[in-house]
Amino acid sequence: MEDINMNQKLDDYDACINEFCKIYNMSEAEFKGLLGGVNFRIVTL
Amino acid sequence: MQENNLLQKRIKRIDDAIRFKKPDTVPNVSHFYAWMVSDYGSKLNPALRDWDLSEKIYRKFLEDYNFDCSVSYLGLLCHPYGATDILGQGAYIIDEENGCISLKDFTLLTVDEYHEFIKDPDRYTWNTLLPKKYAKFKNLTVADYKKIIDMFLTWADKLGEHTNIAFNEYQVPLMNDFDAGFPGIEMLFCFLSGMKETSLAMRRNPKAVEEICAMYDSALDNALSKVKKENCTGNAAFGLHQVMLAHNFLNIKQWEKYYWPWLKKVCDKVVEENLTYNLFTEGKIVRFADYFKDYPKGHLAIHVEEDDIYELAKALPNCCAMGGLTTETLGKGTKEDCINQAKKLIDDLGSEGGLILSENKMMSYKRDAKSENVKAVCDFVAGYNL
Repeated sequence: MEDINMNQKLDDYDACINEFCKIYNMSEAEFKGLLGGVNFRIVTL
Repeated sequence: MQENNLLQKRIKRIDDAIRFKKPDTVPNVSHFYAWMVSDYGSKLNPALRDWDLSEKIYRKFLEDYNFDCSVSYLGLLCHPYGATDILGQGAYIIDEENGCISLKDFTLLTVDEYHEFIKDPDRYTWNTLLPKKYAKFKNLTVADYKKIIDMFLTWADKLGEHTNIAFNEYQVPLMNDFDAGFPGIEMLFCFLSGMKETSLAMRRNPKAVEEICAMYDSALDNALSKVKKENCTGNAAFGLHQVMLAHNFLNIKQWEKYYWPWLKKVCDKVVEENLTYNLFTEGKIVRFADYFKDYPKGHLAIHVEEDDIYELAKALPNCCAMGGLTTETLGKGTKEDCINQAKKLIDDLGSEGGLILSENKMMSYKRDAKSENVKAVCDFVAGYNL
């Protein structure tokens, strides 16, 4: 399994996407689909 | 013990009402949300974070009241609320004393930002909107946000479980088979820019509003391509379901520009596929009645909030009127008052179809209704054969 930087700060969008893809074992397109749903909920929370 | 084929009876009952065929009894569709938390005897904060408790609350509601259709209260909240424990307080205000949840009007996205937002909404949300909303966002880590994503996934699973419990154990139909999403103007009013900023934006920079609405509205054709009679599950009360709010802030010219083209496409598709469309119209809708009056009978069910249901039924005799049970009576009246209200609505508007009883508000405050009144109306309506 690839190393995952769980301490990556959220201030770097691309680096975060990269780490999340490894965590959830998803392609970038798949993960962005999930993240779009999560972020929409969170930003309007 | 539940009667046989109750699920199919309920679906037929609701469909008959919309189609203006005489149903066996007038359908009674629940519009209860956070109210069921206080009815269970819980506080809101634990009920919004504890999934086992949320299931117990929903089960008690399903057991105590025999509605023909119901929505999980987790569905209304639209959020895994526990995320605020990590991010900090958001726009929701939890009022435990009054047992209610309020939402502040907020401006997340200003009209000056629309153009940049459209270029890459995901990146803009991450880099600008989330830090604007939550001051500590950029100092959080992937590990922190993973907890939020996992919470979201659990919340989505639990919503599905609530639906399955209602469907499999209590024979309550699914709400709708298809989802058209929201028009861009609702996204701006309800979620991104708020009432004040969107209203100002429409006057000061209509071009920018058009651009962002076009971006959201472009998703509709794809959503409607799946809306086909042959794709119906046969397990849902309605073909589609819609919540409308933004129309309240639009004049006729703005409605025709920003809202009606989107909604007309959905209504036309519903008729073309011989489906049904349930529209919950927050605020008032009757001033837009002319736009709905030429649709054939049997497709649209318009759920009124502040409009008089009699006025709607008169203005739109082609549409099934939905609502009519008021918080005023359910919350302050006696059982007899509530039954009289339900009986009058059925006798006046529902004896040949064309009426679905429901509450006139999204029942959120514990004072919105007394338990015994809700039970009395459910029992009366279920036993009042037409």
